[in-house]
Amino acid sequence: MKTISLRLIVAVLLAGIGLTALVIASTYDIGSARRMGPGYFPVVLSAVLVLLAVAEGVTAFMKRAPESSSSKIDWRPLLAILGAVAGFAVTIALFGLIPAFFVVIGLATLSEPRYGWKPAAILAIITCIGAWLLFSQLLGMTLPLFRLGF
Amino acid sequence: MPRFHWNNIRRSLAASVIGGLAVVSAGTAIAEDYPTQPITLVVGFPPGGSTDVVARILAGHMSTSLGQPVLVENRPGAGGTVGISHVANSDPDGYTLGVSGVGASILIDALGRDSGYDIDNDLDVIGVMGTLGLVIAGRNGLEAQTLPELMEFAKANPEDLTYGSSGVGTPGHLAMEYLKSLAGVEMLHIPYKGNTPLLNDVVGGHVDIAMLTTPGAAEHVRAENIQPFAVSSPERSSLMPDVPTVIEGGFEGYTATLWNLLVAPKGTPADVQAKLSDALNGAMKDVRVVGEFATKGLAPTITTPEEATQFLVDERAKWKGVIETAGVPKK
Amino acid sequence: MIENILLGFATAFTPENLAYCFLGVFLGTFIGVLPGLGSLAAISMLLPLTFYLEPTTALIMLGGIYYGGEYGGSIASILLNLPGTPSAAVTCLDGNPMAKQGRAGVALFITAIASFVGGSVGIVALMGFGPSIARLGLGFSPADYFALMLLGLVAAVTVGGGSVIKGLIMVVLGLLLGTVGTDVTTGDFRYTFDFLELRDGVSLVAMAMGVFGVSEVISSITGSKTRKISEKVTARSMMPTRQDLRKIFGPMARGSTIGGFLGALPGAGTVIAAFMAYATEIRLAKDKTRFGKGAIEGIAAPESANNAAAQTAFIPTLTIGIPGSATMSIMLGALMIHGISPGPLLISDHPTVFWGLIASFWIGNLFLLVLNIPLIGLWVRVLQFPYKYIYPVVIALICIGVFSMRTSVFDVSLVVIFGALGYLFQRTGYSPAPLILGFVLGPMLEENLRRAMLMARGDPMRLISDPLTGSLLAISALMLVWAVFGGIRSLIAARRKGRVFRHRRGLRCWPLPPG
Repeated sequence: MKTISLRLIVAVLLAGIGLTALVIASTYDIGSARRMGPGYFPVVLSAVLVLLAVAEGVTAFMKRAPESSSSKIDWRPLLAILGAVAGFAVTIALFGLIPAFFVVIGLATLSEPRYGWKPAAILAIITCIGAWLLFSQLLGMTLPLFRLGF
Repeated sequence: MPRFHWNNIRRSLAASVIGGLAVVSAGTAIAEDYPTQPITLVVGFPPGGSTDVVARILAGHMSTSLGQPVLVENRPGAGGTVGISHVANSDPDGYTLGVSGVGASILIDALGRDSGYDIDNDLDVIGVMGTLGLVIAGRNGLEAQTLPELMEFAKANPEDLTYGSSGVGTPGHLAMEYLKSLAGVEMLHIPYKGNTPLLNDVVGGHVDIAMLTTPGAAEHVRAENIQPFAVSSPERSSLMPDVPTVIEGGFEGYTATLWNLLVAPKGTPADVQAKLSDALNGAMKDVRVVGEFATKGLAPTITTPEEATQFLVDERAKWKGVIETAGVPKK
Repeated sequence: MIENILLGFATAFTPENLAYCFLGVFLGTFIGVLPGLGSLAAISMLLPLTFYLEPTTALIMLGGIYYGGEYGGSIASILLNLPGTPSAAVTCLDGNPMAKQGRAGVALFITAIASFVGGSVGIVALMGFGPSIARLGLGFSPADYFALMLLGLVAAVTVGGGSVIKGLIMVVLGLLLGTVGTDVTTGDFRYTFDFLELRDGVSLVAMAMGVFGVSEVISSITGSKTRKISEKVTARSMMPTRQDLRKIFGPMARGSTIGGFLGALPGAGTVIAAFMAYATEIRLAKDKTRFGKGAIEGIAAPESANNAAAQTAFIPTLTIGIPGSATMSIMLGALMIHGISPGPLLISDHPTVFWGLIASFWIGNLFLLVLNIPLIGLWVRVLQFPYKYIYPVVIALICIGVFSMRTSVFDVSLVVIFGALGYLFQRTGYSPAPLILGFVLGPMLEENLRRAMLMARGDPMRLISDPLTGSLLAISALMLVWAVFGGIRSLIAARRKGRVFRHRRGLRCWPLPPG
């Protein structure tokens, strides 16, 4: 059975990044080797990235290694953790630091089934108190603890 | 058993009514007892930089006169525009103020770049926070000793001299381009990322001329690591009184100074602005502030909000003229 | 000379200065441990606290915060694979594997010792040759800097530990990410997609926290279900063996020398010191495969280099008034706030400040050792906590750390993107360390090359003909040839081995990529 390996997918992704960067860079002024424009480095770099990624992709394709457990994606923790960070970003902009801590910790604990809301709440409270003591009291930083609307 | 006196009850009733009124009117009459909470002063540059230093000196003094702490918050990015853009989008309640320099107030916009705000429509100017001069200095070993000699040499050897600036579109770059066009000379521009690497290369002799801030250059002038040609301020600098001005060097009307404006979101109540203006001007008159300004090559300024707004208009006209005359390409 | 040093110690040994030095080291370590917050963050946060102190005392405290922050960063790197700075990214390479093998205590102990040795070497260099080293740094032209950056990049490719092609991909991706923002030479915006926040480039901390921290947390959650931590923390388990100590002597000496020299170069030194020291150890090692899997030399060399560089980085800052790094510019700002202009005249104008500061550096390093060795047991116990309770807090701290650097929500969103990328890279065997180095060196490489070409009026021969530039370029070329040659050789060796393997087992088996 032939499966598309994760290694190949990443190589294709990298080639895609390189190609996009190349297309964008081609709109910049390239200049000459003697008097380089802002586009010179990006064009060279993205072209090299595409070449390297293609080489890596070909190797990965030829190899057809059996999927080992280390090259599988764990969707649950991946989505939970990334969602937690994104949730923090949205919440701190809208409601301030304390709610943001509850959101980030709450979402992060979704990475495991049956984490339970009690330990999550306790962790969030401890983190809030610790952060408040450190940032607001000790360091005197002006972080918005609570805020409403934009 | 406590005994109730009508008087006591009446007094407490009155107190609670007044208290309730105070709560109701808090939304409208904030200016009366402004400030009632700490004020945030946004600086668009990292801590320790020259703008940050100015902000912290003045914030310290304003905290005592306003009776509430004025806290400096650093929101560095994009030549100061990230911080000012944040101020422009804040509530006009007098609790979020900003320090806006030449770049964030004028140059970024004048060079055709989007700053994320329009200073005239999004911000109120409360006062000028002092001015700072620049100095044209050269590496050791240049034959020219004075500004006219330097320009003569540059005229005779076009493109032979290199001059460094702290970045494309910074006041130093534009001021040098202006000088070039006035003197009719050609010099090769080498941009750097900030003052520090530029200073390194002019002291090390890798670039011929540089436009530096006076406090950054003063020690090196004193140690004879670089030679000063002229200062760009209208008067000589307190840090290097022996160095003539560019005007003295024969370029009538040539001035280029750095400054910062104290800005607030548009719509800040007039009496709040007046309180802030008084606090700022009070700081400018304080002996300690004057002393600290002098050691850093800063000149104190005392302005009403109207004067400061006019100052912005005048400076904008001047810099736009410089960009026009020097033919700096807009993006 | 001797009287100057005595003057310095007399200044530093007042009870007040000692107390603030200790406080600085303590607070610095504490903040440095937090993910995403390194010595730069520690200094920027605590700078306002020092405004009300005497200038010398303020600087001594800031110095203490600086080392404390650097060391705290190493603790986070070793225990949780969370580097806040490029040099801490090097410490992760072998420090974190050691922690996973239950040798976190030893790793932290070695770090403390290597830091102290490196710091001491740097201080001696600072005392003895300060001004002359400063002159040397000034002599480096843009062309020389370009050549030096190139050398750093060549070293970066060899550092990754995995396959050469993956290392190259990471370096190039790092370089490409480094071009995001305002082009210094023309002022044009590149890859900013109309975001104001991107005009200054991608935030290094957001990137490092994404590719190292977040991806590490995601994969550890899966791992922690099967991993059992049952080791007991005993005094013995924290102490390095005699064999360990013998092994680190050479790396520490080489690391301190490399770091001490590179640190004095403005702008470049502190970033590449740790990478260069690490690459040197790989080059010299008989068994190169041990690196990246918990080799003790892999901590000792970069940590001593980093701390030696941290000390000599003060040389250009104090003696010529030109800071070598972002942290140093804040120190410079602190001096100016106190009305002292650093520069060539600092030593003669303010001898108590200069020599007192140098003496306090050494005292600070000593405090670091005294403070941290007893605390190692405490830090190691953090790992014994069930991971279930650690990771939500770590993620929360990463968020607040990144946010507070620039008070920027945008930077936190970048962590999401880099976290996803980092996780994919980690699953498929890409090392994030070369990515970070490419990212940091890229802008400097480009800026200096283009500046050098402008100054040479577009004539590349004028660059190569300079003796310093020429020889630095030659070394880079030599190292590159060496790396490519080594790669080909190991490829051939692997192929031969693979053939034998296939023959014996009768299985279809492809050779592993070189490295």
